[in-house]
Amino acid sequence: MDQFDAFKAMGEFWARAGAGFLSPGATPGFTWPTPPQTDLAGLATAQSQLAQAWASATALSQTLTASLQGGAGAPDPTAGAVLAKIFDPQAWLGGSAEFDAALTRMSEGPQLADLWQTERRYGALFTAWAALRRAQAEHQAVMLNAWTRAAGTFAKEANARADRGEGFSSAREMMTRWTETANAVLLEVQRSEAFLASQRVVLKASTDLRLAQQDLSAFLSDFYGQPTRAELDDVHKSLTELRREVRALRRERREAARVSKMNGTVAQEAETAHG
Amino acid sequence: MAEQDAPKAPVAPLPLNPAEMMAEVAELGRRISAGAKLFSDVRDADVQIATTPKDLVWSQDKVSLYRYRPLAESKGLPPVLIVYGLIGRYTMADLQEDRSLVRNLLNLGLDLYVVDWGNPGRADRYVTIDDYVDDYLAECVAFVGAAAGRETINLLGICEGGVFTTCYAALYPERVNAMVLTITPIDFHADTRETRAGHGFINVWTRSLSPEDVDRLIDAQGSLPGAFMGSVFSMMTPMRTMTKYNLDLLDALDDKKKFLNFLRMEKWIADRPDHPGEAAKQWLKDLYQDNKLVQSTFVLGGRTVDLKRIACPVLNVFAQDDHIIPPATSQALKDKIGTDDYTELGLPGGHVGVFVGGKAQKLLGSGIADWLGARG
Repeated sequence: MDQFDAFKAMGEFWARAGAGFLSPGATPGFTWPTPPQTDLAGLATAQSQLAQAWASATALSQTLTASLQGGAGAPDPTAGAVLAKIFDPQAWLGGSAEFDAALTRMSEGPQLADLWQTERRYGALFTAWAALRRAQAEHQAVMLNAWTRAAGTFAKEANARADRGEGFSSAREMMTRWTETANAVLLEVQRSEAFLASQRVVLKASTDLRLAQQDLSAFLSDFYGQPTRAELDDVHKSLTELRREVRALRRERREAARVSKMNGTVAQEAETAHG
Repeated sequence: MAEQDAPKAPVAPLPLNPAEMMAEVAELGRRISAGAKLFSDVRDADVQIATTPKDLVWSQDKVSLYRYRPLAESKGLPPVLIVYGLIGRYTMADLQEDRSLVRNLLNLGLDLYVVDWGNPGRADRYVTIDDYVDDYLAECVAFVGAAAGRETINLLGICEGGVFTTCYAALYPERVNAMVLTITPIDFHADTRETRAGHGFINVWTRSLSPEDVDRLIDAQGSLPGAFMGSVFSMMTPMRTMTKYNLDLLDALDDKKKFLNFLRMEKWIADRPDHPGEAAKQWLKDLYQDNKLVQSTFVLGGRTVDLKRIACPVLNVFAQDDHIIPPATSQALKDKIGTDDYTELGLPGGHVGVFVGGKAQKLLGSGIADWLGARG
């Protein structure tokens, strides 16, 4: 199910659900103020527009990519790939590549020994932060696709049931079915290359951000004469090694005592035996 | 007949009318109100876990060894040392009085010890699995053996703790009378042999990382944070995670006993220690990525952990619906060890359910006690 089908099914689902809920005369004796019909129509229109917007974006992307290559008669694979990337709607979630590149140049460019060291670290920190936000947005796009797929699958099933005259008996039953559908889709997505790759990038970016924070923190700690994380790690490493040595020495001492005791017992037994 | 064949008129997917909807909302309000009262009435003392009486008998650094007080006449078998892993805590084996492997085993006359690894912090970054197996676990076994006046004791490993006891039994076969493994991964790549949805995600996820990713994560954090592993576990049941604190909790609120069980489980889940950094690198890279244990190439303390050196009887317990440690990853131990006295026990339930599920936890306790009793 592609994005368009998913949105179409969802639009149909909500329109039906809303119409069913609000149709006058559903409960004998119960009166409910009839809402203006335009509300429902508006909802359906909005869903439809959303579906059209997505389809339009995709179509626009493809059209622009194709037309800017110089027409169908002169395809250029490289230009096509680049343009496809530029006009990919998902790239809009990625954000500030150019801004990020400027920060990267600032943090990783040629360095002067005593100038702008603090600023450079703040720059690196901000670059890492921006990279994390971008990675998160890209991962969210993967999840958004998964959600759309799940929602579309669910809506299609609900519509099919409704067509057969079998609605859900309760909100809970509907929720349970949605949960099962969404779970199945999410579990499948979690094993996909796209999910694993984008999650790995998020993990890497968050690690880089933390390391950039620690680098800045270490710089400032050093500046103000405070112990740095690296110095503390050194102390902890030494402590761990010393503990290992202490444990080994204790074991040796205990083993020596055991052997000595055994030898003493053997010697005593020998003496007793020789009377 | 004609009526039955006639197509039904389309209906709304959820044919609720306003009156029914109002009734549902009113019922929801009643349940939330009753639940709020229950919440305010419950105190922390009502949700204590790991309450079986025990005494501290040995400790070193952050590691503590406890001996449980007997609840029944001793069967005279070698003592049993419970070894949990560093991911989660041993309290799962004694979650509540009526769902406690510990109590079940004590009631069957076993002499029971448990090792608590404590709360490793950033200062423990350089502690390795070598330290845990070769030092701390070896010391615990020595203490328990000396206290019982025996050369050998029984080991009961749980999850990562089962990996520790497996390594120990391979390195020190002369000290182990019998070994029980529960929900223990041996072949970390065996998940690929099963295609059950949602099973083995940690295996897939870990393999999607590069060794450098793991190194940098540990460099940055100093440990594998417990909260981080918690989020990985949550990902394994995505929708359950999303409905846990609304739908599931709302269901639990209908019944005080169920609600307290829910809170006890929450307490255990919240108590997830950080995994020491270097030990985490070994866990993720040597075992999950490179699968060295089943290949008998894992090295601890300068010695290779050769599974063929495991000479004691082995009972391998796995959960049939374990999505964290898929059964195949545990069952791979068969034919890899140096003994023919190998038994498998597959129990209904999942990774945690096998310990706290109503049916499984009873089968688990009696299954272990009977098996050990035959190998006393």
